[in-house]
Amino acid sequence: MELVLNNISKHFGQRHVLKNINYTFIGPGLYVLFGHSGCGKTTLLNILANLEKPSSGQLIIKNKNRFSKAGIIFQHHYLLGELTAYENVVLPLQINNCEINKEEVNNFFAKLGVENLKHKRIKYCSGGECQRINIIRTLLSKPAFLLADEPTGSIDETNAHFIKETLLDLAKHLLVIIVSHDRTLFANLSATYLKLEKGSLLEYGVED
Amino acid sequence: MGWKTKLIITNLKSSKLSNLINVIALSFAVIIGALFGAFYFSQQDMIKNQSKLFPEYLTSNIEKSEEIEHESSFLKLKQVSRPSINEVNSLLAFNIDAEVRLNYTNLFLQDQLRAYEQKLMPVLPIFLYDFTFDETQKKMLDTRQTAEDTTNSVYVNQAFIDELKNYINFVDYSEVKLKYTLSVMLDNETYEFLFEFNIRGVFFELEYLSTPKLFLSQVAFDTYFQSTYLSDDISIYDYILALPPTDVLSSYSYRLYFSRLDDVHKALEVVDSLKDEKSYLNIVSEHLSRIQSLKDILNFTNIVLLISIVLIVISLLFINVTITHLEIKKANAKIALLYYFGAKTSEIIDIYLGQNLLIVSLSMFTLLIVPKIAQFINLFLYDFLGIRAQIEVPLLLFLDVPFLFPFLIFTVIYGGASVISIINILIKRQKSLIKRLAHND
Repeated sequence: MELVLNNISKHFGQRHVLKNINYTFIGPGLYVLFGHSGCGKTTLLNILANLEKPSSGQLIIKNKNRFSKAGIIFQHHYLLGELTAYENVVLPLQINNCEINKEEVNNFFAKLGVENLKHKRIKYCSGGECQRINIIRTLLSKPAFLLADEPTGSIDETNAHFIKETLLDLAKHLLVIIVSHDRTLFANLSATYLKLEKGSLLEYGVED
Repeated sequence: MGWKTKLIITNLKSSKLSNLINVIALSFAVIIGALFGAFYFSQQDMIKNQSKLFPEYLTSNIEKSEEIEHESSFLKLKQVSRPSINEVNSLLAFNIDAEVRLNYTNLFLQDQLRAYEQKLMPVLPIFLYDFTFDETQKKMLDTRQTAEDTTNSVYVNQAFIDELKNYINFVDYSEVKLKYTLSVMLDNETYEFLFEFNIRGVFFELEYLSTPKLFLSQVAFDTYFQSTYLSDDISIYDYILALPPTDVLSSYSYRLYFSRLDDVHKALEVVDSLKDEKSYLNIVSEHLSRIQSLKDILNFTNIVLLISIVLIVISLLFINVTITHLEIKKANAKIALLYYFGAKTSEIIDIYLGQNLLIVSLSMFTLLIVPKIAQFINLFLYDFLGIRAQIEVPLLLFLDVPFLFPFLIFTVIYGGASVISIINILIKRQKSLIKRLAHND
């Protein structure tokens, strides 16, 4: 699939956050979008997720094979503390009256290494565990592509490493775009690195 | 269990303290609202019942008021006089069942009562038609023996007995000998009439502003005055009947003995509707004045209560508004997430309405203690004002509709709380809210 940013600009009043951005994300693949705070990363992410409209330009999604909806992994997991991990991950499916494939859910729990937490309430889980459960919830909604906004921002190193590995693994068959303020957090990954500077997007190189 | 129900339960669990404060605030709103409602709707019955708590509830005086303009003054004088029989009959022609009799009250106001030659307190002589009492009167009567319709028998009220104890010592009121001497000046001659009484019974009437009363038989005194002749062979009865309407011994009025309470109300209504500016009939009596004063107090109490209750309920709803607002604000991310997952506004509103439903339903249980509180208020009113109040909380039947009263209370409280939730959710409905999920650059 392809995610095409066609001359995208965004301004808030007099402040121009994004200026004529032209870029095509090709999936499956991993992209790491970095830049210092306030450079417009989250604005771009919101535009990619269709949560925000650009001031000018177009976002085109080509060859979508699932749904056109983006799956977003936020820095904070936004899981509901009083519900169990299982109840949290199936909630979007229940809201949309989708059938719950228990085997698929169990596989995701196993894959993310949180099988034992299925019936544990979120308020008793650690930050890293919550982020893994958050990824399961996002993946169960079968997104067309994945956007991760500082996905390792508030978790320990072991969990951060696991999340990175997981995203890398997912990128083998899905377009995954990671947004981070620090490139070094996601260094040495087989990914395309993009830097957002003064409202423009620069390709910084590809690492294997 | 559906996802909405699950979220309602998790919402309740996650904000226990806020929900508890909410339940307490709404419980108070339920209690205060229910009590005020009960008090307001009980008033008419209460006044009606109070008016039956006087032995003379079917009697009153009828007088004529005239405004007299003075030529050299801007002041208007009001003259009260005894109306003519024709004027009284014209009132009774409005299908009002009542007997008209002479009013002897002023004869008895000229002297004081004595017991064992000791001068006693002033009393209010009240004439009853006779000593045949109806069921209403019997309910408030404590009597040792049946009294004959004679001028030697009287009934008194509890205030009389209480006051009498300040003057003389006695164990049994039926053994107290009372004496009343009437010294009446008629045509420059003084006539003395001596009446010796025995107390035949005590009426436990409404204690509110109660004064010592002496209940006398109209029939007995009519007979007595008709058979007692003055020096020029005219009976006292005929003498009083022939007095000019403004003579003090005419008592400025006739006495009316109604058949039913409905006749009293009807007469009051007719008199009220026939009032013109200069001359009008008045139905007056001590017990009607007390009922009127009770009505005035209740009207005043209503205003004070209404203001207090509005302030209290506003305060309680303010607590509810604040807590609901804070709860929904706290749940901003949750609401945004639900929108992001594809939930509709109506589904999110359902969750918060469901939550409110449980909170309001819980607070509705306090309705069960409201009748007990009303009972306590009734006791308080009886102990301190002597008003046998009848504040009844119509939990089961109101306006002939089962459970209407609790339903109305529930609707007002739940409606108020729900409107607040809906407004809060609608304000937060905007899509830009979803952006709050992501942290800003």
